[in-house]
Amino acid sequence: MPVQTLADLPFVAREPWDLLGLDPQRAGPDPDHDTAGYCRLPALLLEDAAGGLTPVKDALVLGLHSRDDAEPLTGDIELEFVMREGEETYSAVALLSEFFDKRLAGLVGDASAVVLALCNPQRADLKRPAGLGERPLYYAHGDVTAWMQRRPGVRHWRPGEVQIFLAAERWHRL
Amino acid sequence: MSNTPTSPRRRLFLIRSLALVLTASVAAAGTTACGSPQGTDRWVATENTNVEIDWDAVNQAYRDAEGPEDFEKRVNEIYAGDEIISVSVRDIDEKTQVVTGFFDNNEDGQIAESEKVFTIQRDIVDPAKAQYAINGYGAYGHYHSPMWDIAAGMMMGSMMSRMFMPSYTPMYRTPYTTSPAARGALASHRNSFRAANPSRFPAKASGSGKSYGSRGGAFGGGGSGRSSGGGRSGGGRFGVRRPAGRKVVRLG
Repeated sequence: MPVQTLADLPFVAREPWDLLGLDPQRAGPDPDHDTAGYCRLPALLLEDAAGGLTPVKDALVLGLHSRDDAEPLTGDIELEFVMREGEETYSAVALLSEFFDKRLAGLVGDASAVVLALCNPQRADLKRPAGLGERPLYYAHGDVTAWMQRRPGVRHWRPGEVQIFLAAERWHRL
Repeated sequence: MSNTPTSPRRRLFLIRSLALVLTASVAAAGTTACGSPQGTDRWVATENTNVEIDWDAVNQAYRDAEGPEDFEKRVNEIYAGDEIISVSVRDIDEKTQVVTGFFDNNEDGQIAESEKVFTIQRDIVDPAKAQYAINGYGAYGHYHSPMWDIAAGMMMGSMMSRMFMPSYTPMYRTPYTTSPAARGALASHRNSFRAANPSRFPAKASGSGKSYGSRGGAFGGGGSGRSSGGGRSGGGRFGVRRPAGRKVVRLG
């Protein structure tokens, strides 16, 4: 039976490479990536179109998806979760603000910052949600794409030996 | 905007003749002057040798470096001689940074005029534009690059891109300098790199009059597979396309 509420939405912890669609066999981004969930990263780099890098430590990364051709919303983003139950695939949708109200407080834990891996093609300017405490929230304008890069001198692709980037047109901090 | 080098690769051949004698003693890790039977003073040459610097590769390494440590590794992969090139990064003021490559012959971490190999001076012109130039010193004093323009939005490593961030403040008022301890690690890394890339660094010929080392080779463009590390692999994009006709459930 399709999920009906945000409270019942399966939104689980995933391994970073799984959540972010990272695959050393692939050089370019995966346009069909639709995995949602969250992970915690000790270090993450937010890269903008100007080449600027913002380091974030002890981040809760929320892997969320928006629909490419969604109607623009003021101050909000419509989330789309691709749900697969048996042979059926359907989309479950909710506003980001609603997701924050229902789920954010239960996710932050001891993270020092929250990062939205979420495309924002309409460039909505978000408001700081409740439930963050003192933590900053980072969100993007434009598409968000994950990358990883081997640390200098490293020849193999292994977790812990790569730097993880989230690239977007521009990053904002609340 | 960028003035990407399009001219043929510039190489400077350093000819050391029998008449060239410098008295600085050298303690480069684990190597001796090619063909010299007389000890470790590599500035005392007993035969002609050629050592190249691929200035295009140095330029690219500077553009791609993630920081001073990354840059010094890249430079030592480029340089085909036996010496280790130490790197110093110093912010003169809010706009000007000077990177110096030098042969730290006495391993004191100080840049003696006679030890300089090159400098790269970068000047911020405005919040979205900067320029830099590379100049050779000593035996490489003939090399002077054009003035390269760089602009926010270009692909570059964080050693450069950091200057365009709104929150930028100079990090190297107290200069970064390759430590004597790091030189050993650089030598090991350089030797491993050469062993892994034999076509770039053919084995030194025995006897006199033979050149050793080869052009360092410009590092390729971004992407996976750089043996110095730093290759990138793409991940997911966080937007989805909804196929026509898919069932949609609005969550409450």
